[in-house]
Amino acid sequence: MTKKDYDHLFKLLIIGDSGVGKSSLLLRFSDGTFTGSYITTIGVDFKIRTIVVNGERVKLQIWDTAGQERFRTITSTYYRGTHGVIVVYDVTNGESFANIKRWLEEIEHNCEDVSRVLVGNKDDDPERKVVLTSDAKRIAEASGIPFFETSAKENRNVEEMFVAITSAVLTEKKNKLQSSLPADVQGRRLHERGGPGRTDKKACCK
Amino acid sequence: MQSSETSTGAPSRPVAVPTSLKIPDVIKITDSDAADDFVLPVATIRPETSTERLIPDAGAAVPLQFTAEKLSGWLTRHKKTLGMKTSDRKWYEFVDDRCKLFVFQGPDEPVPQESIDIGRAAIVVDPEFSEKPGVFALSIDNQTIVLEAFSSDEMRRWIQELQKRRELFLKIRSVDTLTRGHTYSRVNSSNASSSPAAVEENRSTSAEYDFCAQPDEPTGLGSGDTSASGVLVSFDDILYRTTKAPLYRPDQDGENSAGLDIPSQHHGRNQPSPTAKRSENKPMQAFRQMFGPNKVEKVDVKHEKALEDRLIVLQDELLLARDELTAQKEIVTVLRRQLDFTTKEKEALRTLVGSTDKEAAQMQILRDRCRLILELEEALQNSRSEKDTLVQRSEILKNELLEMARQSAKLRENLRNKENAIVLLTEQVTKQELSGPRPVRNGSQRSLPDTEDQVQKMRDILEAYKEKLAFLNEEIVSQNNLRTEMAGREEVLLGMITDWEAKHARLESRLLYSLKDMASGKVKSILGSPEDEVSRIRQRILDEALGGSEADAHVKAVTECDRYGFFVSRLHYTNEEYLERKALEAERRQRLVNLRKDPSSADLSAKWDSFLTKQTRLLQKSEELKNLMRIGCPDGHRGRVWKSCVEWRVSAIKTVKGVGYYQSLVKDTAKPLASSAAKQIKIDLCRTLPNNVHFMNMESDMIPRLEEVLLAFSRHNPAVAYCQGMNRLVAVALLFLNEEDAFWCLVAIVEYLLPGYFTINMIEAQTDQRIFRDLFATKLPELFSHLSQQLDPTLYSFNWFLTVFVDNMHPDIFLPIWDAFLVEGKKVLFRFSLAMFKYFEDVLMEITDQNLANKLLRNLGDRVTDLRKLQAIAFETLNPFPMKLVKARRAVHLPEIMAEMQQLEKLRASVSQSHSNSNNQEEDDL
Repeated sequence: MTKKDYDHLFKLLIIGDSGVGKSSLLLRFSDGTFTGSYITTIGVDFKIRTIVVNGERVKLQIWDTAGQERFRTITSTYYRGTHGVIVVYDVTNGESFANIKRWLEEIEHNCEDVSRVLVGNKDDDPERKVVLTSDAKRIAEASGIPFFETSAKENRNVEEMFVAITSAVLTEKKNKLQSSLPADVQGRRLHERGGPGRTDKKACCK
Repeated sequence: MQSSETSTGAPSRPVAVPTSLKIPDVIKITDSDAADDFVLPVATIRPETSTERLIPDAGAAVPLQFTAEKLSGWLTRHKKTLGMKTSDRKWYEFVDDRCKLFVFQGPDEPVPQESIDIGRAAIVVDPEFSEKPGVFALSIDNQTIVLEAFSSDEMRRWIQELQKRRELFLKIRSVDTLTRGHTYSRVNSSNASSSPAAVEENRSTSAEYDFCAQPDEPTGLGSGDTSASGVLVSFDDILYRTTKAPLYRPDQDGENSAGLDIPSQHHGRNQPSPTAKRSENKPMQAFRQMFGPNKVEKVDVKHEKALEDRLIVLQDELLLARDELTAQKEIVTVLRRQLDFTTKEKEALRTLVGSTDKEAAQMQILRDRCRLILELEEALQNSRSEKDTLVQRSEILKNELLEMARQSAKLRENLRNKENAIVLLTEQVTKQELSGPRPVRNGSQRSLPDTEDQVQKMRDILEAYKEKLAFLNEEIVSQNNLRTEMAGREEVLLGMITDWEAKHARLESRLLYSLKDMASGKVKSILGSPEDEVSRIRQRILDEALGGSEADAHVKAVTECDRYGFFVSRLHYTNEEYLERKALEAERRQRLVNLRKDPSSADLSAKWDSFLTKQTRLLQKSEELKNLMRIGCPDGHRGRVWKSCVEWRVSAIKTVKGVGYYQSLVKDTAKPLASSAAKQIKIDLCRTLPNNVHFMNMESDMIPRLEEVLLAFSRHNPAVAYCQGMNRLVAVALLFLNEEDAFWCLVAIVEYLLPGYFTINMIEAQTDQRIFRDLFATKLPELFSHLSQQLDPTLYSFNWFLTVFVDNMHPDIFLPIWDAFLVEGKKVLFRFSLAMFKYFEDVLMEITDQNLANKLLRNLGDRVTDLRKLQAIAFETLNPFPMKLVKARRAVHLPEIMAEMQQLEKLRASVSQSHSNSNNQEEDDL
């Protein structure tokens, strides 16, 4: 702590239904591993990783929360001071997608001015996929948040998604520092910049 | 019959009667004609007994002679006097008409040394003599004469002949007594039964005497039985006793009756030869040994007995008829004598008349005499006719008797056949018995020396076994000593191995770190060697080290499990972490080994043993148990002890719910169940203990049980239904308890030990975390203030409380915590949570980086290697640990959290409201 080895320190929060793969997304991003045999997260956990975005070192403190609804009262305390929230659903589980609305509400009443991203995880088996990309895109669009379909197992779009939310937070921070811009513009800018390779799927707000 | 003494025929005068009846002398009775009349056996015996002498013929060279005339031969007599065994060889000759065996020095000796009365002797072939084939015994009046023939065959012939001749003698005697046509005038008439006086005295009862064959005499083996061999007698006795017919003796009876009523040429026709009898009786003896005397079939015997009884009655009648006949004869004799007398008188009178002139008077007298004669003649005639009818009747009776005898013979034949069948069956049974374990029956049939021999043998064997046992005991003791010694050595070696392993792992990890440093170029090469070369070598070493450890880790993760089923290498770690873990693991193992070596652990297991032996199956709550559980329960007893701890909490509710409650919950799938709970349970099944072989994946053995218990609980307590964390509790419980007990264990924890922890708002869990924070600040103020700059300690302790340390902690550490928790409850969680921080106080105080602190704290449980140290902190260092404080803090925090939650709910509601409003608006817009 004596010597700063980062330029920015952002706190991110991963939320979503139980079993959608929040912990595996975090582990993939922070440790680059995936085992398929995780334990249920009781309470909250966090990992730290420093990435470089636009030449700036950003230290990310990413909080992983328990998905079961009754843990919300506990996790709610961790919303405080959060810069960005990653809302995850399972593309093979329609219910987890249906609950997205409630999770977005949860963000709303726990914090203000927070960057968000919608993530459909477990996008690695087309056979089992039940949540249509178009449906998810529509929801994201309606809320004005970026949308990614990822696979922690196959390490698809994970890095991109985290970079995207970090960029969003970074931009937000910078904007806040200068003056203030509408949030939806940020989202647009995020979209313009991020998500190489899968522009068709990832693109959400337009 | 011409007997040994000259039987001088009486001066009898034949009277003009058709039969050749003589007037017998009053005392001397001749039977020559009467014998012809009655066709008595004596006629046929005559040639056999014709040679009458006291001294037998000299000089047959053959050892045994049993010609028709005489029975003689060499025999060795065994005597036992004053404990001395003597035996001398003598010439034995049987004299038929005396029924005595005379003993001579040699065949040419004229004077017998001794005589044995065979008529009173019982011939015994005892199994006692079985070792000497030719030995048999004659037993007279409790005196036994042991004789030995040359061979068993010869012995058999001796016995056969003796029996035959004795029978003949007895028959003759009985016939003689009946017919009275016999004069006894023997030189040695000392034998009471053969003395004429005795015969006369016993005349009326002699028949009965022969039939009874002295039933009052002591019978049995070696007793003075007169008509059968000892072997036979014993069997007869048994039959005799069994049938309780005092007059009935099958063999004897049969032989005697045959001798009486069947002419001697028929004698023995229906009788089995003595040898046959014996061979027949041997199996019979075996049969008796097998089944005891009472098992002999009685039906046929009874049937025959009835017939025999009838025969006896008929014979009695015949005898009566004969008696009558004899009386008639006497009358006739008297009459004749009277006639003679009167004739003489008449002559005398005639001479008298001749001499005197009283003719008229004489004539008168004469007339009178004539009339008298006529009368007498008439009476004689009557008597004769009467006698004729009696003779006829006697004939008829005799025929009847013959018929009966024939029937009896037939029946006897039947009986023999049946006996043979029984014998055959018995032999089969014996054979089967012999092939299997043979029942030992030391019946009276068994000879004593034989048994004693066996007993001695058994005693010897017993002695041998005793010695063997003693030797084996010694061997066991010495082996045990050796084993203990070896075990001790093994422990020491194991400790050394783990010690070395730990050192090795530490060195390896240090090497790895330095290699990393080198690779990253932090350490500059002092040597002037080319940089490229050095870095290449570094890289190679590093790659080798990492590659090796990774492969190693994989293998371990797949194969090695501890005794609870947890994989030794718990999760997949990064390379550096792996080495660190390995070092930790080695250290923990080493400590465990040390713990086992420690004498206190032996004390502890002894304490547990003594404690558990005092207890019933269900343990009672006690201070002793509490103290023991603070140290930890041995694996072997954990199931029982946990079950007891659970029982204390849930016994009341269990009683209310009744027996089979759990089963009904499992079966009652119809009961409405929060679908979210079932879904959540399903999702969490594989995420419970993925590092344990029993819960590894959906196919693992305990996964269905885990689901069953969790579903049952969600039906049992719908308010709680299912909360994450409960899955871990059930999984650990299932390692030691069955499904039902694990269910009640969950009930005990969720509803009694940690109430309000798993409810929908988890209010108590939250409250306790705040209390814990306060406690932390009070008990470890320095560490708290240092740590809370970076992190909130409840971030970790929340997990510890909710899963009772199952997450990220080694089972060797968390199971003893469970032990204490199940006895003492929640405060154990406070104690150990604080102890965890205290345990790593030094390390934590040095860490200033949040990330590092997080990493350390996240895996804090895994780093605990010294259980005893942790326990000492929890239960000693942290004392005093007043629950009062906990309660006081609770009173503050609970309302606080309630208020917060209410606020949150309000917020949520308002957001939802605004959302739904905006949604509505959107919909309206659309």
